[in-house]
Amino acid sequence: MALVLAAAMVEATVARPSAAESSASELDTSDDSFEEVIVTGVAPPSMDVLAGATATRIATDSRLAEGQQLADVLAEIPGVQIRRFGGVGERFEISIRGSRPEQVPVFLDGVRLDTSLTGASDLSALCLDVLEEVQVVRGPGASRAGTGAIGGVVNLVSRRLTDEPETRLRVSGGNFGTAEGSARHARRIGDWDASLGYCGFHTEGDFRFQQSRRVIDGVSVGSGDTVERINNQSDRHTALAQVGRTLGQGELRMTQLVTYLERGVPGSEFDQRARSHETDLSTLSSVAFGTPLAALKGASLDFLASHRFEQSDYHDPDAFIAGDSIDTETGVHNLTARSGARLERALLAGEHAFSLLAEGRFDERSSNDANQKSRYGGALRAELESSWLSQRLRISPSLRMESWQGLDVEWIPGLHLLATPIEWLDLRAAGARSYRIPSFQELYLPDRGFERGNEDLRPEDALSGEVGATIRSPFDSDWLDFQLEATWFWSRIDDSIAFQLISTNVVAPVNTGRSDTRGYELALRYSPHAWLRILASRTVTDAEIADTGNPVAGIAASQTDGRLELGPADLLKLVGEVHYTGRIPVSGGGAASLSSRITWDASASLDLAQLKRLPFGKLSKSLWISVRGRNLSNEAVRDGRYFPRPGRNFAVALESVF
Amino acid sequence: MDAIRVALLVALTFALAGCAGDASDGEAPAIEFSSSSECIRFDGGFPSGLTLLPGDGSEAATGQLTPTAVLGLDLDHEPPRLLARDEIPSFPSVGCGRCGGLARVDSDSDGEADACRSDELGFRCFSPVAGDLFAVDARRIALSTSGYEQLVFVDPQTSTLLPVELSTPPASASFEPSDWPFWPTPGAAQVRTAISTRACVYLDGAIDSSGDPIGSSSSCDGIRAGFATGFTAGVARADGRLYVATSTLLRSSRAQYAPGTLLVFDYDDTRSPPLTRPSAEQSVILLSGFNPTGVTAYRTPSGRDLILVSLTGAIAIGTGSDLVRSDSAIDVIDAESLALIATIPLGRAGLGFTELAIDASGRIALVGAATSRALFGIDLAALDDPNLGLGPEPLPVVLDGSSPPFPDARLFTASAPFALPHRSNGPPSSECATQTSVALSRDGAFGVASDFCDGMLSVLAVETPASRATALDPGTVLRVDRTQNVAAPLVAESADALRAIDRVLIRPGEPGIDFDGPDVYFSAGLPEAAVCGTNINALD
Repeated sequence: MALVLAAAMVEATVARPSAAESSASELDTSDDSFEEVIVTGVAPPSMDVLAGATATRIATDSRLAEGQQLADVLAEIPGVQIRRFGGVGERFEISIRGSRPEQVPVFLDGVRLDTSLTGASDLSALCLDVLEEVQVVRGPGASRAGTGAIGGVVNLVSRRLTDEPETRLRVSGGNFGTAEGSARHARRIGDWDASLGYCGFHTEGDFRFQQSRRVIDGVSVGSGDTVERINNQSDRHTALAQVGRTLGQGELRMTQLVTYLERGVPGSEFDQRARSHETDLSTLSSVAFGTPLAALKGASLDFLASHRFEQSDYHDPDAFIAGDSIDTETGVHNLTARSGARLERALLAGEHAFSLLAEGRFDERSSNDANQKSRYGGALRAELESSWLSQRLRISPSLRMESWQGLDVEWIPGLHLLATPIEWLDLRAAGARSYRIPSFQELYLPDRGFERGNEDLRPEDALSGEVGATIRSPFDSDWLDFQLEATWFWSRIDDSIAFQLISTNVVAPVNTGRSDTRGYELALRYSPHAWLRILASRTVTDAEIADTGNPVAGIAASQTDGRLELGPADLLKLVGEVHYTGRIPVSGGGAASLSSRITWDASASLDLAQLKRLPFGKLSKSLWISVRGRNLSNEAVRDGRYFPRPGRNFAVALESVF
Repeated sequence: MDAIRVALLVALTFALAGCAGDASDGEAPAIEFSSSSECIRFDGGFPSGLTLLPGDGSEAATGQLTPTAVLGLDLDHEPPRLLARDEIPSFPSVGCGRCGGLARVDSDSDGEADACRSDELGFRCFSPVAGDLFAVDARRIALSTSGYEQLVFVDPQTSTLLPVELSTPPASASFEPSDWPFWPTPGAAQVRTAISTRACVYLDGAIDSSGDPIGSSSSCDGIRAGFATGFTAGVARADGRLYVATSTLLRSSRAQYAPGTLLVFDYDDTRSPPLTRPSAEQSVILLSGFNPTGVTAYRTPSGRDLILVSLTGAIAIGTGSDLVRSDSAIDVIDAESLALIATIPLGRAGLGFTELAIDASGRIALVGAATSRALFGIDLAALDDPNLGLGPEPLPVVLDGSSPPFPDARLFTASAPFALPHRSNGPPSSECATQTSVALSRDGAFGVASDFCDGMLSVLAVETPASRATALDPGTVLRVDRTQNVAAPLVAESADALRAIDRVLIRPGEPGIDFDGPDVYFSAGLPEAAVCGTNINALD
C-alpha cells in the first residue's frame, strides 16, 4: 500500500503544477481569507456574519474526496462537539460551546432547517455531496439568527450554480454493508442556471461492540462482553434541485430539498429494540430574490419565502412489559417570509452599512395522538456595521426584536468589535443576548401518564461573550506560514429546559436553574510546505450548574484534534487524524463519567485523472479514489452512556467530476 | 505500470474495507461512578430495593437496575462500600436467535437466554427487569424480576449468582405441573440460579381491576379463563417456605391488574444447594384484591406464623389525587394451612410497595404510601386470636370491626391516615404524587419515614401500650418527632442534586457504641442511583 502511494506521489510531481498553485487551507476562520472561488453563476449566500464574530467555513470538495461525512467536517471545528449515538447511519447531535442540539439552529442557504417539533435538526438526513460549504458561527455572533441560537449557528451552503455544465458522480462502500452514491448535474438552460443533485445511502449498520463496564467504588461491574448491535439499518435519500437567474439587476433563486430517511432505532445497549424504527420525510421549498436598489446608491433589497414540511413516524411493535406498542405520526409545517434591506454609506470618516430585516413565521403541528397546535411569530432586526481607519476598526451593534404567540416580546442586543492594529493581528470581542422558545414537543407532548408536555414553560435565556485574537504569520516565508486563533468564551443560560422527573413516575420538561459555561478554543493552521499541512485545535469547556457547581452532563471537558495532510492537495493526499476527547460527565450530578479516549483516523486519496499515463484525464476533470479508515486502533468508544459506536472501519470512495 | 499500481491500490483499498473491527482492542468502556461523602452511587437510576442482611446489621444489599446487579454493601464504611472487592461479572448471556439474534441474559443459568425461553413459551422476548430484593439469609439474596418473572439468587458478598435445585411436584389434585411452564418436568430436578414465578391461574367469573372479565390467556391453555402471573414483587420466608407476591399488571396505560396472587414455594436450605419447588399443597393463593406488593412474615405472640400481604390496589401512572383506582388491604395468610384467613381493609390508600415495618413490641405494623404523603398501619394484636380463621365463619374474616368477636385491626386507613409533614419548599402535592417508605428501629426507639418528592425524612416516635389488650389510640401511638432534609425536593431547580429518595433502613444498635457513622440509610434514584447514610440519632 505504502509503495503504491509513494509511487503515485512521485508521479504527482511530474503531472501537477507547482505547489504554489495548489489551494490553501479549506479551514479558515475569517470571511476575508476564505479560499476564493470565481463565481460564474448565481452565487449562494455568502457567510452571513458580523465582523468580529467567531466563524469557520470549510469547503467540502476535498473532504468528500477523503471520504468524510458531514459529521466529520463539523467535528473538526473548534468549539463543536459531535455526539454520535450509533453506527454509520445513526442520528448524531451537534453541540457548540457546551450547548444542547436544540440551541444550535441549522440553516440551508440561510433558510432554517431545524424543526419546531423538537427545536433541533437531524443532520444525519443530509449528505455532504450536495453542499459546497459548511459554515459555523459560534457564540454571540450567532444570536442575531433569533430563537435557538444560543450555542451557535450552522449554515450549510449548497453547491453553486454554474454556467458551464458540470456533472459529479460519487460512489462509496464500506463496512457494515454500507453503500452510498450521489449524482449532480448543473448547467445553464436559457436564462436559467439549474442543478439537480441526489444522494442515496444504505447501510445494514449492525456492528459488534464491547459492552460497557461500571466502575463503582473502585470495583469493576460487568464483563465487557463483545456483542452485536442490531437494528441499525438505515436508508436515506436526499434530492436538491435549484434554479436561478438574473432578473433585472437582481438574482432569483429557487430551491427544493427533499429528504427521506428510514432507519431502525436500536435503543440502549441493555435494551436493544429489534423492530423499532422511524421514517422521516421532509421538504424545504424556498424562493429568494436579491437586488441592488438602482434609485439609491449602495442600497439593496432581498426577499425570501420558504415552506418546510416534516412527517415523522415512529413505530415500536414490541411493547414494553404491560405497555402498549408505540405508533406515532407527527407532521410539522413551517412557513417563513423574510425581507431585508441594506444601505451602505461613507460618513463621519468611516464606512457604514445599515441593514434591516423583517421576518414572519407560522408553525403547525399535527399528530395522530395529540391535538393540532399552531403558533406564529415575527422578528425585526436592525444592524449597523461601521468601520474606520481603512477597516482596521470595525464595530457592529445589532438589535433583534422577536415575538411569538403566547410569549413575551424578546429583545436580543449584540455588539461585535474587530480591530486590526497590525496587519497580522486581529482582535475580536463580542457580547450578545440570546434565547430559545420551547419546542412543540416540550410544550404539547401528549400526556401518556409517564410523560407529558408543559404549556407553562418559559423561553431559555442566555447571555454570552467572547474575546479572541487571530495571528497570521507576519513572515514572508513558506516555512512560517501559519495562522493561530485563540478565543475565550463564556455564557450564562437561565431557565434551561430539560425533561425531569416531576412526580414518582412522570417526566415532563421544566425550566431548570442557571448554568454557566466558560472555556477557550485554540486553532492552528500551519503549512510549512505545499505538501505538508497541519491543523490542530483544542477546546476546553467548563460547563457547570450554577447552584451546585456540578458539571453539565454530556459536555466533554476537552477536545483536541490534530490533522496532518501530506502530498499535493489536488493530486494525492495522505491524511492522519488524532482525536482526543476528554472525560464526558454523563450524570446530572457529576457522579458518573465516561473515560477520556484517543482515536485515530486516516485516509488516502488520489486523483487518477491527474496521472498522465492513464486515460481518465481525458474523460473527466477529476477522478478521486479514496480509502478512509476510522477508529484505527479499534477502541471501544461512545459519546453517551448506553450508546456504543463501531470499532475500526473503512470506506472506499470513487468520485468523478466532468 | 500505472494501471497495475492503480489496480493494486483499488484492490488493497477494497480489501481494507472488509476489516471491520469489533471495538475490542482496548479496554471495555468504563462508566466511572464517584461516591460522595455520604453516598455510594451506581448506575440505572432507582435502586431495586434496600435491605439489611441478617446479622449484626453492618451489611445491606441493594439492586442496580441497569445493568442488573445485586450490590452487597458494607455499612461500616462511610460512605457504604461494596462488599465485593473483586470484579463483579455480568449475569451470563447466551445468543438468542428468536429475539433479534442477540446475546441475552441467562439469569437462571439454564443454558438458554431468558428472552428466548420466554418467547418459546408464549411470553414474548422478555428479559428480567430487577424489582425488589429480599434477604433469604446472610449469604443469599432473592432478587425479584419482572418481564422474565422469577426470583434470582445472588450472593451479596460477591454479587455472583447462587445455585438452587428445582424440583417440580408431580401432578395431584392440588397441583398441576403444566401450570408452571418454566419449571422442569416432575422428576427432572435441575440446578439453576433462579426460580420462575410464572404460573397459570384459572378463575371462572373473575374480573380485573377495571371491572372487565378475565378471559382466556394465550400464554396459558387459551381455553379456560385465567392469566399468567407476572410483575413479581415482594418476598417473605417463613416455616420452610418462600412466599412471593405477583401483582400481574395487565396494561399500564389503563391501570389494569389481574386479581392478586401469592405464590408459595417450599424452600429447604438444609441441602446444598437449597431445594425449592412450588408447594404441592397449595402453590397459588388468591388474594382479596389487586396489586399485592409487600410480603411480611409475622409470628404472633402465641407462635403462629402468618404471612401479611400488602394489597396496594390498582394505581395509575400520573399526577393528581385520583391515582388509586381500587381499595387497599392487608391480607393475612395462615402459614400452616396456607389459607387466606383474614383481610384488613384500608380503603383507597394506595399502600407502599415495601414489606410492613413492625415495631419492637410487635404491636403495630406500618407501611408507606404509593401516591400520597402518609403512612398506613394495623394493630397486630387483632391477629393474636389463635382461632382466627379456624372457626366456622366465612373466610377471609374482615377485620374492620364488622366481624365480632374479632376486633378492628385498622389503625391508619385511607380515610384516617397518619399524615406526614410537607416540606415548605417541596413541590405541591397536586404536581408531585409522592411515595413514602417507613422503617422502625429494632429497639423501638424511633422510626423513620421517607418522602420521595420532598427529599425529607420524618423521625417518628412510637409509643405502644404495655398490654396488648389495651386498645391503640391512633392519635398517640405515633407522632412525628422532627424532620430532617436529606435530599433536595423534586423541583425544577434541583435538577442535578441528590433527590427522589425511596427506601429507608435503620441500622440496629446504639450509635457510637455498637457502630460508628450513620444510623439511617436511604436509597435515592436521581441523579444517579445511590445509597446514602445520614445521622438521625448518631452524632455528626
